[in-house]
Amino acid sequence: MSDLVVKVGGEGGSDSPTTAGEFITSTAIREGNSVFTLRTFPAEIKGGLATYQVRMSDGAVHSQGDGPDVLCCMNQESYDELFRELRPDGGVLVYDRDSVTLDDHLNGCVAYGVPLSSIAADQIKERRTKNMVLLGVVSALFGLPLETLKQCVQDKFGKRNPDAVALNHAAMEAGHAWTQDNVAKRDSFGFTSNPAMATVRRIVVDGSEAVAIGAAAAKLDVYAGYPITPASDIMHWLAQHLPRLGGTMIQTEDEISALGVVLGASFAGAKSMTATSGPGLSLMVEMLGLGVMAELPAVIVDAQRGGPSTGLPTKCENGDLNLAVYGAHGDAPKIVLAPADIHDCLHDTIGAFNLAEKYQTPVIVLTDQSMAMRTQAIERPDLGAVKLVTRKLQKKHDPHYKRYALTADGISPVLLPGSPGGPYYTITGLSHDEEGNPATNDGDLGAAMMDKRGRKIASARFESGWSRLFGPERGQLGVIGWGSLEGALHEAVERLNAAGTAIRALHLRMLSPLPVEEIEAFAASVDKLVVLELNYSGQLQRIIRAEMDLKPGLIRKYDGIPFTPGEIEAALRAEV
Amino acid sequence: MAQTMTAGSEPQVRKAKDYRSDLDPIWCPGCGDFGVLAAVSEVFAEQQVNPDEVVIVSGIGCSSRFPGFLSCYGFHSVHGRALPVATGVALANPKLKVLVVGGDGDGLSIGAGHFPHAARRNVNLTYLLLDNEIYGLTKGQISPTTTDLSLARKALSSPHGTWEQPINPVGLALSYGASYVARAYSAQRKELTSVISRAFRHQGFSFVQVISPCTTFYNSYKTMTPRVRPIEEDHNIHDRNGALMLAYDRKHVWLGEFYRDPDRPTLTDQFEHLKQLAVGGRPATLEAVLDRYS
Repeated sequence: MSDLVVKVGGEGGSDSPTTAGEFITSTAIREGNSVFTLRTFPAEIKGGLATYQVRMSDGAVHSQGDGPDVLCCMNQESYDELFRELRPDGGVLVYDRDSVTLDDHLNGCVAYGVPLSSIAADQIKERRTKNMVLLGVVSALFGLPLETLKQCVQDKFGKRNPDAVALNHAAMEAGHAWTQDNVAKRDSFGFTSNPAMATVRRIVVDGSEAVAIGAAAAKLDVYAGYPITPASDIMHWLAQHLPRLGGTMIQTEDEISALGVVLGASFAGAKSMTATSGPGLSLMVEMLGLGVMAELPAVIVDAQRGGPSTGLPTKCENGDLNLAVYGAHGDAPKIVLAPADIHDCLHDTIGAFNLAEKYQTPVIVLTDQSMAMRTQAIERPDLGAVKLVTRKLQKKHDPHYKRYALTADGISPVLLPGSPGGPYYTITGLSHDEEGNPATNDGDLGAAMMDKRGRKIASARFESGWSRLFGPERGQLGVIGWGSLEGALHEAVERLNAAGTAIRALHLRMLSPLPVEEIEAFAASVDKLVVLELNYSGQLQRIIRAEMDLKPGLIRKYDGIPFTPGEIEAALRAEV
Repeated sequence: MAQTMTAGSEPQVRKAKDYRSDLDPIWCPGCGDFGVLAAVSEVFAEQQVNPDEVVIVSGIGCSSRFPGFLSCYGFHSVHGRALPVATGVALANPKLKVLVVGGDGDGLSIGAGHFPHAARRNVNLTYLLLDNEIYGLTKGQISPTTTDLSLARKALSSPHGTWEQPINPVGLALSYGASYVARAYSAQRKELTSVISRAFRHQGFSFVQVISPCTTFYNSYKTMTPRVRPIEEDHNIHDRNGALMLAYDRKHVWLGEFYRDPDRPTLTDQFEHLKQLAVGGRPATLEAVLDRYS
C-alpha cells in the first residue's frame, strides 16, 4: 500500500500554499487515492504562515499521518516553523532556493532546492504562479501525474478564466521541466495511482460542505446563522444552494436571533438548523433551554474551535462538550452528537434531524475546525436510500388534544399551528401543564413534566449506530474516544495490535444521553480504561466518572492541533 | 388556552369574545394591557380573522403573557427574543398571520438588538409594543422609556431618580426603516382599535407603540392624558422625515399613523423572488448539486 504525506507551507495569500495543496488533493482523488487533509491558517486576514498537508494512499487512510514525508517550503518562515515536523529518517525537503536559506543540519533529510520564485517571475512573468511551479516540481519528483494536475486546474478555472488556465499550465510545465533537467532524485517516495478506485462514485467535500449536504438531504426548510469561524462555510453553502432546493437561508443579527428563528420556524413545522462555533453556542444557551422546555426539534451544529472566550478561532479543540451537554440553567436534557469524520458529518447531520424530530428536542452536533476545513473523498450518498423521520403529528381533530400530553415514552403528538379548529394552545418556557398553560404553582405537575422530558431523552441512548469499535474482542487496555481524533486512534490501535499489544477502542458519536450500557460492556472487556480527548479537563472522562461507576484515566491534548497516530500510539504504550 | 372550536362546522360570524381564551389575564386592575387585549379581539372580529392562521409571539414581561389570553396559536418565548422567534414562524409558513406583543423592557432593552433587523427586513408581522415605561413583572424598575422623573423615584432601582435619556420607540422604528409606524393609547380604545386594525392589514413590518400605563408601579395616566393629541389630517403618511419631526415633538405626544410604505416587498416576497431566480423556472435537485462534487 502506498502512503505519501506532503505538506506545503508558505505565506497565506501571496504564496497560496492552500491552492497548491487543494490541487494535489484533487489530483490524488482522481487517481483513485484516499486522502486525508489537514489545514492550518493564520487568524490574520492576510499574510502569516498557512499550511496544507495531504496524505495520499491507494488504500484506506484514517488520519493525517505522522508528520510529512515531503515538506515543501515556499518561504523562510515555513522552513523555520515546519522543518522540525519533517520525518528525520530521510524525509524530503523541497524549498524555494530564491527565498529560503537552509541551516547546516538537515538531520539526514534529502533537500531539493528549486528556484520557484525566479521561474515564476522570469519565465512565466507572474510571481503569483509560484505555487503552480511547485506543483510541477512535485509532479516530476514523486510521479503525481502532470496531466491530471492540469486537468484539475482546467476544471477549476476553465469556464471563468481561460487565461488563468494557460498561465497556470505554463507554470506547472516549467516547474516540471526544470526538475527533470536539473534534479537527480535521491529519495524513494512516490505516488501510486489506483485505477480501480477511480471509478467508484465519490464526492470530494470538506466537513462544512458535508454538514450542509446532509442538512439538505434531510430536507432542511429554514437555516438561520451568524458568521463565525470555522462554521461560516456551512452558511455559505446553504446560501448558494438552499433557495434552489426550496429552503430559506437567513443571516441573522446575532446567534441568539439565529436560534430564535430556528425555534420559531420549528414551532411552525419547519425543519430548521443553525451552525456556529463555541462563542456562538455560549450565546445560544438560553434559547437552548427554551427549545428543551417547549420541546421543539432543532439542529445546532457547533464547529468547535479552541476556547474559552475568543480562544483559538482557527485551531482545533473538542472542548465544548460540557456546554453542549449541560448548557442551560436548570436541568435541560438534550441530545449531543459528535461526527468523527467527513462521512459522518454528512450522515450524522441527517441523523441529527431524525433524532430532533423523533424526540422533539434540540440536537447539538459537535464537529470541529479540523473537520470543517478538511477535504476528503467520500462515497457519494444514495439519496434515494436516506430514511427521514418526521415528528409525530396530531392529524385528526380532537377537542381533547393536549400538546404536552404525559405519554409513557414522553413523546407527545404535535398539532402544528395552522391546523384547523385547534384546540389552540400557547407554548411557553414557563413550567406548564399538559395543554401548555403556565403551571408554576403545581409542583407535582412541574416534576411530572421534568420526568417526561428526562425519560424521553434518556431513551435515545438505545438508538443504534452511534459508536464504532476497533481492535480485538478483549484488550489489556480500552480507549474511549470522541470527535475528530477517531482516525488517528484507529491507526494507533492497529499499529499497537500489530505489535502484539491487545488494545480495543470504543469511539462514541452520541455523547448525550450517555450510552452507559454500551460503555459498561466495553469496560468489562478490557483490563484498564482510558478516555482520549482533545481538551484540557477531560470533559467526557468527567461525565463518565460522574454518571457511571467507572474511573477511567485520561489522555488529552489541547494545543489546537489534532493528535497524530504516533502521539496516540506513544501515549497508549505508556498506559500498558 | 385550549378553547375548542369544532372543525368543519358551518362558517360562523365570530364575535370579539370568541377570540378570547378561558384563561384570565394576570394583570393588575386598571392595567392598560386590558384595553389592548380588548382592542385586538375587536380587530380580529372586525376582520373575521381565522384563528387557525394566527400565531401570537411574545417574550417575557406583563404584556408578554398576551398570547395565552387569546384563542389562537401562541409562543411565549424568552425575554427580548420575540422578534427572532416570530421571524422564524413567518419564514416557515407565510400563510400564518404573525402578531408580536411585548413591553418596553422586552423590546427596547434586552431585545433592542433585534428590533432594527426585523424592521429593515420587513418581516411580515405586526409588532405591538405595550409601553408602560417601567418593569412591572419584576415589581418596578426603570425601563429604557421611563420619562417621568417623579414617578421614576418610586421605582425600586432608582430611588434617586434617573438621568438616562429615554428612548423614543416611534423615532427608532422610523429610523430602522419600518414600513408602517403608528402610536396609540390604551385609554383611547376606539382610536387604538382603528390603528391596530390598519397595522394588522399592512403587508410587511408594522409597528405600533401602544402607551399602556402601569397602575401599580408607574401610573402615568394623569400626566399622559393631557399630552396626547391626534395626528393632524394633513400629515403626509408617506413622508418619513415629517413623521420623524412629529415623533420628536417635545410638546405633544402624537397619536395615530406616522408612516406607511405599502409598496416595499416583505421578507417573504424577497425570499420567494430569490427562489424563483435561483431555480430559473427549472426544478433543482440535490443530485444535480452533488454532481459538482464528483
